Amino acid sequence: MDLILKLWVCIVVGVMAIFAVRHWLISMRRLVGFQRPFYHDLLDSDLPAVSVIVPMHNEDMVAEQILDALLHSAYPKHLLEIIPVDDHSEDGTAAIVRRYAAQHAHIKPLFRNGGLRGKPAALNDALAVTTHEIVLVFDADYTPGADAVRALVTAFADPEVGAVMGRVVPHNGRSTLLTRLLELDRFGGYQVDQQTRYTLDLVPQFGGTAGGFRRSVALSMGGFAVRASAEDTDLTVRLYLSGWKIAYANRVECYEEVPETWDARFRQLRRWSRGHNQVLLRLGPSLLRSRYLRPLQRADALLILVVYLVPPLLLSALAAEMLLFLRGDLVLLPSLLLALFIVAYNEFGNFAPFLQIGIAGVLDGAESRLLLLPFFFFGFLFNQLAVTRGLVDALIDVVWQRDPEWVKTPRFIR
Amino acid sequence: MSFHVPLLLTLFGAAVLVPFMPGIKELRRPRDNASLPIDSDYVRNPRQFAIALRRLLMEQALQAPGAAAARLPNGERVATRRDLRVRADETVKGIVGVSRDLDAAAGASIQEAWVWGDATLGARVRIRGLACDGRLVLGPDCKVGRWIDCEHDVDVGTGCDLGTSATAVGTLSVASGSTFRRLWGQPVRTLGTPSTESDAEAQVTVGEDVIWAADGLSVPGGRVFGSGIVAHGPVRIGSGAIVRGPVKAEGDLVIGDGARIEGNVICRGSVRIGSGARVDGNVFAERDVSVGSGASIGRHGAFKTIYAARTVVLGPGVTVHGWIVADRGGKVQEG
Repeated sequence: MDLILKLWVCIVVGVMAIFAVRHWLISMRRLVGFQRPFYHDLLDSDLPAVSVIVPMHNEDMVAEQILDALLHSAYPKHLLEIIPVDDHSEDGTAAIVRRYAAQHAHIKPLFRNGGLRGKPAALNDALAVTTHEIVLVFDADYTPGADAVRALVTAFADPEVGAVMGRVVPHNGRSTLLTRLLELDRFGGYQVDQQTRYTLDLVPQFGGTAGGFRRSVALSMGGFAVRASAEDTDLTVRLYLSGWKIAYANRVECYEEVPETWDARFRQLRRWSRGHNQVLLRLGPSLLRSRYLRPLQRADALLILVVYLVPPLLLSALAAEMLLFLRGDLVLLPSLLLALFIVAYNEFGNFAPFLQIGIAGVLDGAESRLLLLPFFFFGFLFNQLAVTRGLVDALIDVVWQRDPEWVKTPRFIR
Repeated sequence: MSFHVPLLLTLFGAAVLVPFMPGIKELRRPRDNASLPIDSDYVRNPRQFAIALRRLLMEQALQAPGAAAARLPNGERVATRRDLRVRADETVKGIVGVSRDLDAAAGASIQEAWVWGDATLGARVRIRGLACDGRLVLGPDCKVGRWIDCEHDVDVGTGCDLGTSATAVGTLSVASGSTFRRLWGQPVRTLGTPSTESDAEAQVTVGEDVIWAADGLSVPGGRVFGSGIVAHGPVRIGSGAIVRGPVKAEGDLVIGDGARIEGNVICRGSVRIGSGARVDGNVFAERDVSVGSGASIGRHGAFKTIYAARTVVLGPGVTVHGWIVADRGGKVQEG
C-alpha cells in the first residue's frame, strides 16, 4: 500500500515537472527568437464570401452590441452573411434579432425552439443553412473590430489551414479582483502560450469564438459534437487528427466579457474541465496514434488535453501524502515534498503560469497589474475544486453516455 | 505561553503578507486597470500614413481657415504655401501644405509636406513624409525618412531609400538599387526589360483540388498540374509548368522560369520566383522572397500581396499588382 502511494506521488511530481519545463520553454521562446507571422498583411481584392455565426441564448444584454460590431465591419457587405442563432431564448433576444434582420438584408437569423439546446447544436443548425465555405464564429459577448473578419479570413489563403483563432482580450477586466486575475490569465494564454505554439508549429487551439473554420471540413467530420461540453477543443483535436492546421492571429484582437463572480467562474471552469476531459477520454488514444502529427505536436496536444486532469491528480497526490503521514511513513524527503508544492503553486496550480503572465504583461505594456500575481494563490483551491468537479462530470458522461446540459456563462454588462 | 510564539506568528504573518502588499496597493489605487486598447475602427490600409496626415491638416485648416502658419497639438509647425521651391541643400522644417507644386533641388531637406499639385525631388533630397495629389518624381539617391504617397503615378530614381512605406494610387515605378519596406501601387513596377516568358508546352493534367505530399515535391517543367499542392518539404515547380491552384511548401519553394501558379503561394521557408514566371495569387513567405526579371504577381484590376518576414529582392521588369511587404527590408536588384 505504502509503495503504491509513494509511486503515485512520484508520478504526479513527474507530471508537474513536465508542465513546469513546458511552460518555461514556451515562455522563453516567446521572449526571444523569430515569431511566426500571421497572414493579416495579405491584402487581397478577391475576398471569399463569409458566414458569421453568433450563437445566442438569452443574450438580450449583449445582442445589440455584437450585431452593431459586425455591421461596423469593413468586410464587403455583399460577401458577408451574419447568422444570429437564437437558441431557445426566453428573454428579448429574438425580438432584437428580428429587428436587426428587418433592417439589414445580410443578417439572416435562425430561430431554434426545438431540439437539443446548446452551442454545438446551434452551430450545426447554422452550418446547415449557410452555403459559404468560410465560417466565423463570435459569441454574443464579443465585439470584433472593423478589420477582424478580413484579417481572420486571410488565414484561409493557406490551403492547409482548417481553422483560425484570434486573440481574446477582456473588456471588463477592471470590474472585480476576479476579472483582473482572469485578464492576466488571458494575457498569458494568448500572448505567450498560443503565439509560441503557433510559432513552433505545435497545436494552437481553436477557441470556438473569435475565430473560424472551413465549412466543408467541419461537415466532413460530422459537424460539432452535440454531446461535447467543449465543442471547440473537440473540433481542434479532430482537425489535427484529420491533418489540418490551426492558425493563431495574435494581432487580431477581440474584446470579450469575463465572469465577474466566483460562482460564474466556477461553472465556466467546471464546463471547460468537463469538455476537455471528455475529449481526452474519447480522442486521446487517437492523438497518440495520429499519422499527421509529429512527436512534439502529439506531446503538445496531449499536454493541452491533460491540463484539466492535473488538478485532480494534484489533489490525489496530496491525499496520498496525508495518508502516508497518518500511517507514519512520510513518503519522500521533506524537501522534495516542498518542491511539489512550490512547483504546483508557481507553475501549474493557477492555470496561467506566472512566467507566461509576466512575459505577456511586459509584451503588452501592462506591467503594474502584474503586482496582482500573488493573488492567484487564492484561486488555487478554487480551481482544484472546479476542475475536479468537471472531471467527475466527464467520467459520468462517458461511462453512462449522458447528454450534458449546456451551461451558459452569465453576462454582466452594465 | 512564551512571548516567542506570538512574535513568531506575527513575523510569519507579516512575511506572508509582504508579496501581497504591492498588489493591495494596486487594488486600492489602480494605476493599470484599463482594458488593453483595441482600435475597433482600424482597417489595414497601405496608405494609412498619408490618410492620417491629410486628415490632420484638413482638421487644422478647418480650425484656422486662411492661416498661413499654425502649430499642431504636439508642437509641430504647419505652414501653407502656394508653390514651394526648395533650393539646393536648403532645409524646410515643419509640415508644409503646398496648394500647387513642389520642386526641391539636389540635396534639399524637407520634413513633411502635402502637395496638391506635382512634386519633383532632385537627387539626394531627404524627406520624412510626403503626400502628393499629382505626379511624384524622385531623383536618384533620395532618402525617405518615413513614407511617401501619391494619388497618381510615382517615378523613383536609382538608389533611393523609400523608408517605411511608398504608395501610389497609380503606377509606382522603382529604379534599380532602391530599398524599401512596403510598396503599394497599381501596379508596382521595377525598371528594366522583362525577360521573355518560357514557351514550354503543357502536357499532363491531374484533376484534384489539392495534392498532399508528405515530403518535398517536384513538378517537372512544362507540365500542367491540375490541382493545388501542399508539401511538407521543399517544392520545385519546373520551368514553364502550370499549377492550377495554391501551393504550400513547408520548406523552400522554387518557381521555375516562365512557370505559372494560379493560386496563392504560401511558404514556411524562402520563395524564389524565376524570370518571366507568374503568380495569380498572393505570395507569403516566412523567410525571403526573390522575384526574377519580368515576373508578375497578381493581375490588372485586382490587387494581391507579396509578404516576406525577412527580405524581398525584386529583379528588373517585375510587375506586382498590389502590395509588397518586406519586414526586414527589400531591394530592387541592380541592372
